[in-house]
Amino acid sequence: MGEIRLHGRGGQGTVIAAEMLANAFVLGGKYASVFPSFGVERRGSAVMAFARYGETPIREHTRVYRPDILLMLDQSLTENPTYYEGFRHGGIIIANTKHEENIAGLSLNQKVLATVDATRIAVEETGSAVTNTCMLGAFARGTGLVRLDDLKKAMALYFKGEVLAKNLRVLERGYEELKVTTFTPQLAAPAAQLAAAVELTIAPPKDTNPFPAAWSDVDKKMITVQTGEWRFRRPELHKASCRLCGWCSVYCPAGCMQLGEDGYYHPDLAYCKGCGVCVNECPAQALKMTAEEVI
Amino acid sequence: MIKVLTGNKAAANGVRLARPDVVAMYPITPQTPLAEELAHFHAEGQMDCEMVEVEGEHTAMSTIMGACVAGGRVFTATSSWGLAYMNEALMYCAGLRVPAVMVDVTRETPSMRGVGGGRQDIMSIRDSGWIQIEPETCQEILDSVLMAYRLAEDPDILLPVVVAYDGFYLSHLSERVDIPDQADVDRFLAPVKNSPRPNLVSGRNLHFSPSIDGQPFAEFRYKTLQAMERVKTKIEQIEGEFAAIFGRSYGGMVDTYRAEDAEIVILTAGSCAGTARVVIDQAREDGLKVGLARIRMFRPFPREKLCQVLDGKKMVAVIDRSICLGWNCGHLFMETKAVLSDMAKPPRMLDFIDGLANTDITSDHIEKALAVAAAALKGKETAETNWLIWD
Repeated sequence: MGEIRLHGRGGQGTVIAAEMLANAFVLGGKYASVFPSFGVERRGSAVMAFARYGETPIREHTRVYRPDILLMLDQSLTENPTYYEGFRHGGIIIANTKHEENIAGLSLNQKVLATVDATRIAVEETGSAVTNTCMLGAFARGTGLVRLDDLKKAMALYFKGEVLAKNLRVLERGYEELKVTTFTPQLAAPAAQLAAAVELTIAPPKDTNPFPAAWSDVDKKMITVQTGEWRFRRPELHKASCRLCGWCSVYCPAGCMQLGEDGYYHPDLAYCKGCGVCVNECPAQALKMTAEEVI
Repeated sequence: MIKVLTGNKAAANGVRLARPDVVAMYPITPQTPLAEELAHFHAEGQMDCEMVEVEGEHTAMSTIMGACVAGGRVFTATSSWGLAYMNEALMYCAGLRVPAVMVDVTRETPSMRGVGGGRQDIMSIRDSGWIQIEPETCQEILDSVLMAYRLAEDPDILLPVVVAYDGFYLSHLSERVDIPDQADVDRFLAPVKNSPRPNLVSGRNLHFSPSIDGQPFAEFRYKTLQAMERVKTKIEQIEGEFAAIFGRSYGGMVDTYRAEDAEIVILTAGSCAGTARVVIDQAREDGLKVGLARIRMFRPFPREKLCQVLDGKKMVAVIDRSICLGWNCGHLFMETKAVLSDMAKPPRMLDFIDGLANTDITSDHIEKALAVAAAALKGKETAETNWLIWD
């Protein structure tokens, strides 16, 4: 049994990719199971999916904590070490990035690091930065675990017509344009003995909360979500056209178009999700959406 | 046909194959994609039934109850707050012995506005008179829905059945599922028409109401209790017929794994039993005599079967995904503990609470439970109820 973890952003089709992958495994006569991560699944926020494959039925019904294979769908996540947590030494990393060296520099002890510029391929073929099918092609080549034909059949369960045709090209390009580098990993010492062999008891919980129930002190503990991390595109102001009407700040659903010292309204990029409402509403067309990342 | 399906889609396929006459569901949170999938089947013409979109779960249950009393085969699905909201109609349904079938995607109820996984919601109706089946896999969900109709509509039983599967850990898990052929299902589950059960289309002038008191009420209660007891043999018979046609069975009320010669038995229910099997295989390789007892049917409670399974065991390590407030333990522990007094040489019992509010019952957690149980057997002092989530 092997374990796979997929990392992407909401809207990139991470969960669908995992499901298509499971279908491809099953079409190839194997067993597979898939979980989405469960939580804040908003467009643009970091999401995960977990997959397992094997020759016999998959019995584990848990998330994947120690993946043998990591499939990174979004370049902006690839340089953050937290997304590699639990990665098994000697495993395979397949990533959407132009900067392979940045992952190689993370000392992950991988056997295979395979990279492809999936964002560019997806945009070229489909006009959108949805990289999931490209990364499935990359997975087939980088791991050798599923046949490209089975992935094509699996994709036909989810897409039809022109969308399918375009995504099949994306899949093939992901397969063909993958750059595979192999390493000689330093494998860790044999696994520690099963916990059952160790005598232990469980300590009661530490009393970390001053309240008896689900109260919290907002002065001390206020959870803020940096929604700016979800953004694919940002609004850019062209001062020459701006009439200073402030309409953008009225319409911004996040209330983050703020009057700056220069007398113009600017988005607070820590919270701007890149929804584009301000651009849509600006009567002077002084705001324009620009891609976060130059493709 | 082999497909990759979520637990919800597996359940929807089971319902489609059962050919219900009326499906009534409330489609919004905390409802799961099961409702969407059924609406999809209906829209595509794959289900010949009335699909009623109601304004709340109370009406969903009331609608299917009426349709069932009129002689139909019915279905509804809910989860957490939805189950709580249908409570009045749900009690009527069981009290009146209306053979409805329902899915509850089990959840914590208050956590995460009703969508955090757990088993606390279903425990709130454990004594309502609903038969309760708790599958471990997506395949078992589909198969259990089919068996649920046979059980509910059996003239010796006539009780509603809820198939209760783990929110998220089964409802949103995709895995390989064999979808049976309609022809085979039709052989297993005959159309409900011409059922000998009393109904409002029998041509007789019948009155049907729970508004009775005193002795007649007590008599119906007594009959309900007896019907519940008959479920224990009926499920074995129905599962035997199911296995003959489809080649799959799940051990009746209690599913066991490597339990025959085990000294320690991990007792649990639902999706985490699969993970426990993996841990048991590892522990066996390390020489620990461990096995699994999975409670597949929580109502009626498998009292006699558990006595057989636990006979001669030294330790029962229970893994509970719900808590019995007022008993300082989980529900599986409390109910299994009650069975011990039926046994000549009862095993010791420890409880491990885990997986509340959508947290994961990991293989590490189950290993930890096993380690604590093994240590306790060797004489290490241990609390009776332990929480696996604390390090």
